[in-house]
Amino acid sequence: MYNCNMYSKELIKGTLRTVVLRLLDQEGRLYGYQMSKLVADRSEGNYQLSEGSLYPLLHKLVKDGLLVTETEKVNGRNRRYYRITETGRAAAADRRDEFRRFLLTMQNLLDLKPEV
Amino acid sequence: MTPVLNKLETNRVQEYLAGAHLSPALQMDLLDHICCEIETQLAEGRSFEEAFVQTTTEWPVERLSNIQKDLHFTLTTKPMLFKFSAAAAVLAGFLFLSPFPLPEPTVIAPVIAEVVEEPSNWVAPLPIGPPTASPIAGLDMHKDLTSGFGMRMHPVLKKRQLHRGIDLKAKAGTPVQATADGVVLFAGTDGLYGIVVRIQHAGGYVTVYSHLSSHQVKVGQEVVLGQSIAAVGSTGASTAPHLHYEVRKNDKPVDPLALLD
Repeated sequence: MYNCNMYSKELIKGTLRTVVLRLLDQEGRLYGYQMSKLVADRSEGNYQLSEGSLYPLLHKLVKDGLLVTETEKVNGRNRRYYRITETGRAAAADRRDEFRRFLLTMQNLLDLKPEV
Repeated sequence: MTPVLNKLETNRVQEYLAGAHLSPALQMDLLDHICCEIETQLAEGRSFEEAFVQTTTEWPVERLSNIQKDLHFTLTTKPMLFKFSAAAAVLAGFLFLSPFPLPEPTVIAPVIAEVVEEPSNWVAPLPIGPPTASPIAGLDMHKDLTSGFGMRMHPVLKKRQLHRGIDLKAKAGTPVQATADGVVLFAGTDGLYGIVVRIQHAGGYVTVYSHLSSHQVKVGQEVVLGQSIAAVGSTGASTAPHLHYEVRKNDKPVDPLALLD
């Protein structure tokens, strides 16, 4: 369904890593479909992550040691869970913190008043 | 409770994915992902067929292949580009900051060529040929053909429909061999096909051997060209022992004989 509040590709691209790391920091481990669902639910459909960027990102994070995978047989097929590592948790906290500062900067730069 | 796809349905999805040349890791991710999407639709009351068509329309093979390309780019090409720009920067710094006079351009040229040549660990996917071997050793697929590929009257169902493969004359018990290297997707009984073996090959090809009397391979098993996998029979919608052999490319049936030329 078309949602006019959907954010641009550029914004999603720039924040996907922060979002995925934060989700995994909270949940410990998740599988791909679960991540899409969680993000869609929590953003009320406004933050639409595409699988085309999700899976390459996940594989990259595994390669960089921020996540590890655990394969389990579920419903007769293999399911790959992504679990966050200690390095991943540190990166998640750093990213989240950076984004907080970025938000404040943007508030000033764009002269945004908090909505009442 | 969300409905769960059964083995046959999961196999359908897996065969569809086989067309996209995915790495095993990505294939595992996407198989689960797409099955989850279909299951969500089943929960909304759609039939498996409806949900399968809907989902595969949203996930055309090109889209799947593009994810693989993106992944390859993120994991291999991008870090390499960084390495190169770093190497180029060091080289440039060395050349321009060096207290010695710059060497003549003729000398620089071979140095640069050497740097550019380095990305040799980029592995371009090889063009992969279709399976062309005969599924029965020593049998000529042209000469021993009893029914060809294409529209025909079905001998059991008495309906005009697409014959998705070819029928080869063979006695019951004749050994059936894999027509290319691959991995067994399915080995067991499946409706009109009777006892059937399906093998996934490189290049998006799947071969199907059906109406068998028995099979000797298991799902997930790796097989090589010429390996004996089953025996001819007459199980399923069949009137006499023969081998019904199919080749599918990206989930679409193709004429196995057309591949021979």
